Amino acid sequence: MNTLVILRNIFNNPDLFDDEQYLSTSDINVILEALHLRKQCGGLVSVILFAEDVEDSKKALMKAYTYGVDNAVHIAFKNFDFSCTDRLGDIIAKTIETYFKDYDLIMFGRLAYDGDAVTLATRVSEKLKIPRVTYSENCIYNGFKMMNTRFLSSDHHITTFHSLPLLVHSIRKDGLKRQPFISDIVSAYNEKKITKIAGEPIEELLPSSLYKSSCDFVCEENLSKSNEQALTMLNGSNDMESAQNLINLLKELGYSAK
Amino acid sequence: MQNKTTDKHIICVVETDNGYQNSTLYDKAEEIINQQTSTDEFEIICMATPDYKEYNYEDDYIVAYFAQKLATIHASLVLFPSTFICRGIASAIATRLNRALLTDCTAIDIKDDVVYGLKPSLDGKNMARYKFNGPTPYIAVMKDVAGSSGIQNAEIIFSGGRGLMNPDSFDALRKLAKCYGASIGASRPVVDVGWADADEQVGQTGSFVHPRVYVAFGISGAIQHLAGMKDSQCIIAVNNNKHSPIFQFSDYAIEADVNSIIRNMLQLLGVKL
Repeated sequence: MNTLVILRNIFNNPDLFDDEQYLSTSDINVILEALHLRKQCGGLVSVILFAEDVEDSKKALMKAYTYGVDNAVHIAFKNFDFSCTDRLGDIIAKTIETYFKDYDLIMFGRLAYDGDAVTLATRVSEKLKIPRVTYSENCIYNGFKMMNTRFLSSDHHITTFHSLPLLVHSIRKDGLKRQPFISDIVSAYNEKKITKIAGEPIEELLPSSLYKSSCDFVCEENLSKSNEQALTMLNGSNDMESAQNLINLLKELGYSAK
Repeated sequence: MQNKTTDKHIICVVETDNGYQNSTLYDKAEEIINQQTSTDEFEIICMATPDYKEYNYEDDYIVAYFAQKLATIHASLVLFPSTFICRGIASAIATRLNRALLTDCTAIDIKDDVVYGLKPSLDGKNMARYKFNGPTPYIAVMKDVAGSSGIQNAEIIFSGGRGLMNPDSFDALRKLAKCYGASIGASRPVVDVGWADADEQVGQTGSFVHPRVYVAFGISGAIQHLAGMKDSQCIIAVNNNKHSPIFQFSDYAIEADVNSIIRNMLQLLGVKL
C-alpha cells in the first residue's frame, strides 16, 4: 500500500509545544499511523509538505525522515497565501495527480493551514474523486477494505469500510507513539534526500478563472475583551495563599467545593 | 451580493437533527439582518439534514441532497454550524458548487452589499477579516453556535493548557474540577497529545463557550483559544508568565506555577492527589 501523508507547515504560534518546532504532534501521529500500515501491508510512505521555500521546511521533512518515512517531498512556494484553502486544496490535488499517481491512501493529520484539516482534506478528496473518512481515530486494513473508526462525538463512533484508494483525515492520538529509531535517524542524515518541487508552476496549472467566487483577506483586527473590568491579581505571599484566594473568589461567585 | 432570481437576499441556515431548529445559528442569521438598514430585503430559510442515521453517515448522499436543494433556493449566504459532521459537508458543497467558503467564522457582517467574515488568523495572534467576492451563494461555517455537547452549555469550566506539563497534572485538574462540578476544557495542544478529548477542546477547532466562570490553568491564550472563551462572564487565569496574552482578557489572575496552585487548592479542600 502506497501512502501519501500531507504535512502542515508550522506558524510561529504561541500555542505549540516546544518539540513541535518543525512538525506538529498531529502530523507525527499521522506519520506513525502510516508507518504502522506499512508494517502491516508493505508499500511506501511518502510525506509531502506544501510550505514556504525556507530552511524550516527542510527541517520539518528531515524530522519526518527520522521516523522512517521512505520519501520526503517539499512543494516549495516563494509567495503563497496558505489561508486560501480552496486554492491550496486544488494545488494539493493537482500535485498528487501529476507527481504521485501511484497511491492507495492519502492521509491528513488533525490540523492544517486553516486550523481544522477536514476542510482541506474534503476538498482534496472531492477533486480527486475518491472517497474519504473524516475524523478517523483508527485505521486498519484487512486485505480487502480499509476499516476506520470515525469520531462523531465522545459517545458516538461509527465504523466505516472503504476500498482503496481512499483519503483519511486522521485525529488518532493514542497507541502508536514512539521516538525515532536510531537507525532511521542515522539513515535520515546520511542517505536520505529531500525532493524539492516548485509550487508556483503547479499553481499556474489552475487558472484563476476556475474560481468563480472567492474569500479574500482584508485586514487583521484585534480581539477585544468583552467587558471593561480591569484585571485583579489574586496573588498572596505564597502559592498556598494564592490558592486560598482563588477558592474564596469562587465561593463569592457562588461555587463552593463539594 | 448578487440576488439573481428573487427580490430578497436569502440567508440559508443549515439545521441539524432532522429539522429541529438550531436556534443559535438562526439567531446569528437574524443578527446579520438586524444590522442592515433595510431588513425587509432579507429572508431566512432553514434547510434541514435528513435523518443521518438512515444513511449510515455517508456524506456523499447528504452533500448531493444539499447541493440539489441549494440550486432551487438561490441563497446569497449559507450558514453551517461548526460540528464534526457539518464542517466536512460545507467543504464538499463549496467544492461541488465552486463557491467561496470561510470556515471557523466568528462573525459575519454585510456593508454596502459586501459580505465580510471574521475568523482567527493562522498565526494565532489576531483576528482576520475576509471579504467574499463573486457569484453567490457564499458559504460560511459558523463558530459560536451552541450545540448539544456538555461543555458548550456548562456554567463553570476549568480549562487546562500545555502549562500543566504532563498528563498527571491534567488528571489533578480533573479532580479539582470534580470538586466544583465544573466541566473540563482544554487548549488544542493538550488535546493533540491525548490528555483531553476532542470535544473538550475550547477554541477555533473545538467549542466556543460562554460559561459564568472560566478558569484557565496553564493556558497562554493563543488567539484561536481566546476567540473560543473570551465571552465568558468571568475569566480567571493561572499562569506563570504575566506576559501571556490571556492576562489581557482576564478579570482575575494568579501569576504562579499552575501545578503548585492546583496542588495547593486540592490540599486546602482536603482532596488526595
